Amino acid sequence: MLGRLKRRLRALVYKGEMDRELDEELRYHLERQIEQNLQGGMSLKEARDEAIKSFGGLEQAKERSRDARGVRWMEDIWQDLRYGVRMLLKKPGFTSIAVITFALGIGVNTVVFSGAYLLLFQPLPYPNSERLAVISQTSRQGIEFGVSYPDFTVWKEQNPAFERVAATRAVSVNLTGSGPVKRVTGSYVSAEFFPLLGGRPQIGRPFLAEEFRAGGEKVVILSHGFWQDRFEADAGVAGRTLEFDGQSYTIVGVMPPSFLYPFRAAFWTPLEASEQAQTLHDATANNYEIIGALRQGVGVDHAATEMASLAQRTALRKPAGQPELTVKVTRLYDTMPGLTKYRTPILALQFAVLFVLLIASVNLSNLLLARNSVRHQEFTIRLAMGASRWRLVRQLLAESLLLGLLGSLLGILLAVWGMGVVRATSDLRLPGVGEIEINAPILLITLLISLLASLAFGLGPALTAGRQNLIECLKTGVTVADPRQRRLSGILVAAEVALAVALLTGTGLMIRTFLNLTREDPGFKPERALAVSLALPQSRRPDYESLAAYFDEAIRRLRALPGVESVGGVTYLPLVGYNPGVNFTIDGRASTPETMPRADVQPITPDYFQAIGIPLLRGRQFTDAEMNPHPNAAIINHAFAKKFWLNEDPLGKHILLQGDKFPRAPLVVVGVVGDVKQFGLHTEPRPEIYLPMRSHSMTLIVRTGGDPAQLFAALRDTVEGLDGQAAINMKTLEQVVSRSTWTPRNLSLLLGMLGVVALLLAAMGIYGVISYVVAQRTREMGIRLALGAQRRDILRLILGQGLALTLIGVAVGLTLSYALSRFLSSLLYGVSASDPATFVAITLLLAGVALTASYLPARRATKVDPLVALRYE
Amino acid sequence: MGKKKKTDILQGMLDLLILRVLRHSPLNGWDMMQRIQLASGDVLRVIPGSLYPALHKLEARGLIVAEWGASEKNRRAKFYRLTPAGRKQLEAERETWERFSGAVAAILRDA
Repeated sequence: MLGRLKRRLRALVYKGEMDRELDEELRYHLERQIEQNLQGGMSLKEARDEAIKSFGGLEQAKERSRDARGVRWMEDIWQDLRYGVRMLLKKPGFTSIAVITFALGIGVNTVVFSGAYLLLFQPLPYPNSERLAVISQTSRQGIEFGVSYPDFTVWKEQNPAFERVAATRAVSVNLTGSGPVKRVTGSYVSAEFFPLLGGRPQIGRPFLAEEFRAGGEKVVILSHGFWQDRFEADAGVAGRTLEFDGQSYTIVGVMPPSFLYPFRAAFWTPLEASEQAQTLHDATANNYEIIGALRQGVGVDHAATEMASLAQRTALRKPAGQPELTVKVTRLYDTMPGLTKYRTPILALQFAVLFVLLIASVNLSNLLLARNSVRHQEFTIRLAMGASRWRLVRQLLAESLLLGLLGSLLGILLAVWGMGVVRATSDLRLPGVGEIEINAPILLITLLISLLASLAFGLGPALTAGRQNLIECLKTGVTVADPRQRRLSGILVAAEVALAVALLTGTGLMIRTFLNLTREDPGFKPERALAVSLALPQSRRPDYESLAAYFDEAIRRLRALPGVESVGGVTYLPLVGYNPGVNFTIDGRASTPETMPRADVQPITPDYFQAIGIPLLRGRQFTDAEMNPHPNAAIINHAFAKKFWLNEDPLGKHILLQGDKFPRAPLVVVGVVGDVKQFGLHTEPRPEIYLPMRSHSMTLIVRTGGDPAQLFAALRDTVEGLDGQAAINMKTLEQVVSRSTWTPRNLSLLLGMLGVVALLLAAMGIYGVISYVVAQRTREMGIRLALGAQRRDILRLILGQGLALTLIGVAVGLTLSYALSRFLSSLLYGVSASDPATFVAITLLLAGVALTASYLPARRATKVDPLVALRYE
Repeated sequence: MGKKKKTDILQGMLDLLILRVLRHSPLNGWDMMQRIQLASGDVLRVIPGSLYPALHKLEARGLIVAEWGASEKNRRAKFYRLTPAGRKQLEAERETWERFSGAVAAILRDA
């Protein structure tokens, strides 16, 4: 085995020397034979001739001896490659077009694939991430709750389903101290958290056991991103302190950039040290998210059953009136909406770029076909000289692979450059997910795809090369059209058009979705208004009075600014898609815990509706006097009134809210306002209850007479002047609205760009094929003209060919679109996946493109001088 | 033995003959040709055009090794000799051949 390898290596390296030895060996034999012949009486000449004749094929023997070395195939491939490079350099125009076309296809694929790769294959960068699951609890009505700390401590021990569990709680705090006040989100974690997820700090040290008890030292580990932003990647950050909500925390470590749980957590700190003592002992405070690693062989359903019986066995005594909860176990991956939300758009994009690559490959195939038809003389000579057909095919494939290699290298460079551009335009960054970058696996897969594509586009032309009638070609030297090649060309172009149609239909549907969404009325007036969200740490305004005083003062000061028309506060900004909701009962209507109705709840200040532009439909607005931690009045929206009091007058009716955080006494309905789309432009308005009370974190809507962006500085100064510890976040309402159409807008943009590229490529393809056809049929055109055909008949003939090819492609493409449409339907709004208007529009578009692309060659056909054509040899 | 074409059988025969004549001493190509012709009573004449490729194939398989040496007339020639692997192969091929020819002979007798 090793010997063989050594001999082969030697054969490669010492090729020249071995050839010389071979010559010498055979020469020796010939000399002996000649001697023998001379001794037998032949003349010198006779002796020589006989010796060579009786050898039995000297050259062939040499060839076969060389073959015996076992490296022939390597030498052949090397020879093919060198020949291929020479051929490509000879025609730089063709080579550059081919390489650029392929590079475009590979480039966009690399970019999109790196995003898809991140989302689909690497979303959870923890060891055993498939075994990670979340334990939560649900009430009978399907509301999700966390787990209380006492339950967690019980379930930690000897859990039949989980190897290890950890408790976490997401917290938002105000970061004070050096730098501007900022609201950051982080996580309280239990001791098992980091070992469970396999995370070790990149800088500093992990938490110590004693830091995980009540009254322990307040320490914090930072996330990589937060450390970069706030501390400018200062490696000496360990030991410095941070202030959260006025409390001092010592930094002990920084996590590596890959550690991202929970998403966007800026810091982690031991929960036992930071939580209020009573929370740790309260069995009803279901605040914690429990994540754990399932034991080997335990599936999610099995775990749920085990946990249910464990919960029953160890049920802690809880006070009455608590909702009955069942334990639920979910895979960690399934709990991350950020991942699943973008899955379909990313997959749609991936398909789209694959289509573009296919189209580019088809174009390349056609280019190669055209070029091969020009080189047919070269091929026929080689075949006539005894080259095997396989040898020819192999050599042409080598050329295709070379083109593919060059194209993919250029494509990867384009991708890297493109990603830099994309990152600069920050709107296109996927929020909540790690940085998209091109790494080794992606490069590998890209090269693999380009290899397959190169083989694909090279195979057709290679197999049909030199299949023309040899004698005919050599005799006349004419570029005789091979019907097989022509047919292949035609099929390829139709395929191109089909793919382009599928892509463009998807694009069209996406654009229409986007336009439909922008036409939707959000329910308020976004122009000339700002949203200023203010968050105060609990410690700063511990009671309602000081909270009220703060917000009242803030509203008063903002109202006083020049240009401000009205200011109102709301707790859950519309369109942002969040509202905790509340259960309630309607006075006079009985309901059981299972059937209790539910609505969104909105604590607001009196001027809110005016500021944001929600119309008052019936009754009246809140007054300042009614603002109260325990209000008596409520305003409902139109959807609420329609659902619960369809044919009755809602004013004066009473509702009773359930839950600790809300007023105990019944509320009387004093007004009805218009609907807003709380959860997104594509959703239906939900029933909402507005309450005249303040919450710790409110967003003040500021309506101005002029350009809202002008007010940013003044607003910030005013608010900071009031309380330096408040975290401020400002955006215009128009920005809020446009954020809610982020996905369809960007998807339309990207698909649009890809569609344009696809259309260009398809046009190039049609142009190429029709030109080729015209060149082949020059003689025929000449004859037709000579026989009296009009120029416009020729034009019609050629254009008709182009159109026919295109329409076949369109038909196939529309069928493909229809088949794929199901897949897109979750992204669409207001337009069905098989929308006829879009289909028709795309058909007309492609027909137009086909006519345009065929026009130039068709015109050339009409310019043929019949005499020249007939004489053309 | 598996599927073998006519040329493969002849080829295998040539390989066997080469290995055999190299049993006792190293030889160069010319000498091998003479030896085979002589030993077979002039029945088998090896064509040089087949001999040398066969030699190189056997060399590539590691069954024989080559060395440059001096012929009787003190000219430079390439001599081949058996390797241990070659010797083993010789025995194996010889057995196979005897079985094969025995079988053919038996069939021809019976008919």
